[in-house]
Amino acid sequence: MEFWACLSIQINPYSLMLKLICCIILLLPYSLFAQDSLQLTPPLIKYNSIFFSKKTRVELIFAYPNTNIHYTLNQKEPTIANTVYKKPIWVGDNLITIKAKVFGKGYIASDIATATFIKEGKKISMIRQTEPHPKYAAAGPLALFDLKGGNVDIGSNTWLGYNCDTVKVELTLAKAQRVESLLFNFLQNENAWIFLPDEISVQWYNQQLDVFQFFGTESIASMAQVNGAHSNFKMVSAMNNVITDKFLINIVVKKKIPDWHPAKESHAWMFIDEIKVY
Amino acid sequence: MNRKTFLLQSAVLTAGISGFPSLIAAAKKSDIIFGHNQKRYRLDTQWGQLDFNRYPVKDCHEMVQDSLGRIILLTNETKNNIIIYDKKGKLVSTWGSEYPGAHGLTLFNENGQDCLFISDNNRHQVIKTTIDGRVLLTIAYPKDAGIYKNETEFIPTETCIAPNGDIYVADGYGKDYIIQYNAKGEYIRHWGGRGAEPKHLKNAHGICYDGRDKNNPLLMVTSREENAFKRYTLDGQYIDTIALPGAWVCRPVIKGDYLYAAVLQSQHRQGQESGFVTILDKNNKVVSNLAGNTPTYQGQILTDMYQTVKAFKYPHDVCIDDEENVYVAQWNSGHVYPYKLIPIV
Repeated sequence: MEFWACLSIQINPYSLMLKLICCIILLLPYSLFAQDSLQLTPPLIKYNSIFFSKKTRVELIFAYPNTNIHYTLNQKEPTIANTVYKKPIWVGDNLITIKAKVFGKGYIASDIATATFIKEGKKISMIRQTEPHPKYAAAGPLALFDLKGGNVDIGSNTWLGYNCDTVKVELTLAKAQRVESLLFNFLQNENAWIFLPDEISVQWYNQQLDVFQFFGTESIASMAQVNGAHSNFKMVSAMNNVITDKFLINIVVKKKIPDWHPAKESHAWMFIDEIKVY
Repeated sequence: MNRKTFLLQSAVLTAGISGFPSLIAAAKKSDIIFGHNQKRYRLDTQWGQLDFNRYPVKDCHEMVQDSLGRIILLTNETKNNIIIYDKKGKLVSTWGSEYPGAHGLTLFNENGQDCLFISDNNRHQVIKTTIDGRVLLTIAYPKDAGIYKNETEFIPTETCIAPNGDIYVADGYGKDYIIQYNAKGEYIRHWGGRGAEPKHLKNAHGICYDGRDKNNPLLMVTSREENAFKRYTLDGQYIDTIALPGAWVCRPVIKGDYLYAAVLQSQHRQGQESGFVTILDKNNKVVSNLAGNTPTYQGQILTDMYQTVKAFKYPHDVCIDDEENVYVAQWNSGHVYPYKLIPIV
C-alpha cells in the first residue's frame, strides 16, 4: 500500500526515484520476513452434501489458537473485515458459494476454501447411464440424482468413475415441463488423473414429433494445470423453448492427458456425482 | 508409470497467497510455538543442512539415535544412503550406496553393539548391518509362509525388533502382512494382510515394540490408509485399534511414556503437502499436534485431525533424542534435510 502511494506522487523524476528507493528499503525487511514466515492452511468446509432440497447446514472448522475464520457469501475474497465465523451457516438458495479464509496473528493468512451448494431442481424419476468402472460405482444406479455428493475424496462413495471414451445418460423427469438448463457436477483432481470432460451435449425428446432434438452443448477447454481436488459443476442451457420429460446426454471423456502432466497421452478419468434439471 | 504409483509419488504445489496486511504481522518461523499441552516446541529448519553437491538427499525416510547419541538418517539417495550427524547437526560420516529403495530404519542394541535394519522397497529385502554399514544378515520374502508368488510382492517398509531378537517386518507397500522372524531371519509366523476385519491392515507402513506396560508388551502397527494404529500381541493376536481420523500416520515411535508419529498428510487435503506431527500420551490419547489442529475428543472419540500451519510438507518419520528434541524426516519435500523441534521447558 505504501508502495502504490509512492508511485502516485507526481513531482519530478529525482524525487520519484528517491521515494521509490525509500519504499524498497522500507519493504525489504517485510519481503525477507515473508520467506521466514509460515502460512495457515484453509479451513475445512464441512457438510453432508453440496446438494440439498430445502436447506443445508454448513460448518467451517479450524481449531487452532489465536486464529479466526472470515467468510463471504457474495463470491468475493474474504478479508479480515468480513464476517467472523461463529456458528453453522444455513444455505437455502441455489448456487450459494461460501468462501472462507483463516487469519491469525503471526501467520500469513490461509488460501481460500470454497464450496458451492446446489439446490434440487425439477423432480427426476429415473437416470440410466453407462456402467461405471467397477472400482468407482458409487452407491449404485441412483447415484446421479440421490442428492449426495460434492465431497472431493475419491473414496467418498458418491462418484461414478469412467475411463472409457464417452458416457451416455438417459434422464427422465417425473412429468413433462419447461426446462431451461441442466447442471452436471464433476470431480477435478488432475493429480489423480481425473479431468473435466471435453464436452457435454444434450438432446431433448419432442413428444409431438417423436424425435430427440438438439438442446444444448458445453465444450470445456483444457486450461492450465489445476492443483488440488475440486467439485466443479457445468451447465448446459437450452437453445430454444423446451418442454419435455426426457433427455439423452453424451459426455465426452478426455482421451489424452495433456503434455504438461507426468502421465501425458494416457486416457484421463471422468468422475460425476449428480445431474440437476432447472 | 501407473496411476497408483503416480498417486503415491506426485505432489501438488499449492499457490501461496500472502496478503500484505497479514504479512506485516507475520512472525518468524523460529518464534512460532508448535504443539499443545505439555508437548510444545520451537522449529529449527537449519539443523543438519549439508553441502547438497557432496551429501545429497532424495526422500529423507527415517531417523534413529544410536547409543553414542548420534542421529542417523536414512535416504534413498544412493550417494549416501546413511548420513550420521551429531546432535548439533554436524556431519559425522556417511555410508551406503546399495539401498535404492531405502525406506525403513530401525536400531537395535544387540549384546551391547548397535546394529541397523534397513527395509528396502526396491530390493524387496530387509538388510541388517553394523552401525558402520557391514552387512550381517539379509532377509528376503518368506517363501515358507505361502503368501507370496514371488519376491516382488514383498515390499517391506519397516521393522521392529523384540528384546529376544525376533524381527517383525511390516510389508507396507506389498500385501500388508506383518511377518515375524527369529533373530537368525527364520520365518516364524505372519498375520494382518488386507481385508475388511479389524485385524486386517491397509498400508501397514510402520511397526514398533511397545514396552510401556512392562507386564504387557505389545506391537503397535500402522494402518495408514485407515488413519489408525492397531495393536497386536507379540504373537500376532489383534487387540484393538487406535483411530486417528484424518491423519495418515507413519510409524509409531515410542520415547518414555509418549508415542510420536509423523503424519504424511491430512485426509481431506491429500496430495497437498498437508503433513504434521502427532503425539499421544501413555493412554494413547492425542495430546499435541505440531503444525496440526488442537486435539479434541467428543467423549472417547477423537475428532478429525488436520494440518493448520504449512511448516512441513510430507513428514515421514520422527526421531526423539535423549534430550527430548524431535527430528522430522520428510518424503518428497524438495530434498530438504531433517528439521529439528526443540522442546519448550
